[in-house]
Amino acid sequence: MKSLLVLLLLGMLGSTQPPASQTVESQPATSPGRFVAVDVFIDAGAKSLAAYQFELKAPGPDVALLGVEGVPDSGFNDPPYYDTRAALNRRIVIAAFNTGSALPSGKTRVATLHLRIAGPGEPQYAATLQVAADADAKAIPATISVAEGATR
Amino acid sequence: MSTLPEQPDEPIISDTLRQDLKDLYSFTASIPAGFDDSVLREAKSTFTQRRRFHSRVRWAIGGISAAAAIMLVALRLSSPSPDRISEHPVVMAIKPGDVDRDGKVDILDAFVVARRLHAHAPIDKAWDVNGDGAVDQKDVDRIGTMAVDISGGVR
Repeated sequence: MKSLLVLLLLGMLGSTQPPASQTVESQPATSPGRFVAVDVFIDAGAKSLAAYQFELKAPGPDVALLGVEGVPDSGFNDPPYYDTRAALNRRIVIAAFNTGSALPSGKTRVATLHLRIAGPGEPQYAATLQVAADADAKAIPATISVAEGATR
Repeated sequence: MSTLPEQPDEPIISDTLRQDLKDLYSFTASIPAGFDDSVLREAKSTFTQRRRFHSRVRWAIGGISAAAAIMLVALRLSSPSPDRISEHPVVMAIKPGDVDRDGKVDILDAFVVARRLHAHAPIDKAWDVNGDGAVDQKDVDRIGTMAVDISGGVR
């Protein structure tokens, strides 16, 4: 939550300094745009989800990726792996795993992306699940969904 | 229809004329006694030379054919056929970070190494992707970074 507040503050100030390691690019102070949190859910059914990897695209208006964070108490608390050079209107790959024993099952929010949308219109999110695996690193059937959260 | 009178087969000539004509067209040249032998020797010599030449040509052609056949067989044996290639195990280059050797680097590769480290299980030295001489969390993070690399060079 602290990192989110830092991100928001820096974004509102229009700072060109990348906050921590999660900021991908910065926008001029004159066009802050609107800020959106996008939640990514993976539903592994009755199986325990230990690792995931997905690709996300958001073609449409000018969308800047500010950062990606894990979800507390979801089994994927730490920020996932992603390429900070990624531009969301092309594609970004996000992945994480959990070597612990407290693994989630069912529909689980696994990551949250923080975006700044500068242009008009709404981005169209398209997520593709590339890897979903259990604790033995065996592939399990799962589905992925994306939901735009409230403006924060 | 009238019939023609029968004509004699040969004209009637005198014996003198017949003898003179014989003398005129008869060949009376004398041939030396050894002439036939020398012709025969010459002919035999010529035929023998020709026979030798043909024999040499045949041997040369046979030798060249045999050499070509041997070379073909040798080439065939030395270059493996597609069938024989498939009999041998295919050695594929493993990408750095492709821990599970499925041909791509994804989060499962990092996960496998992390599980081993977490369980203190035996570690493959090939998983030292950053080349610092140890397989540790840095290698896990490196493989995880490779898995999400969007440059296309890894995945």
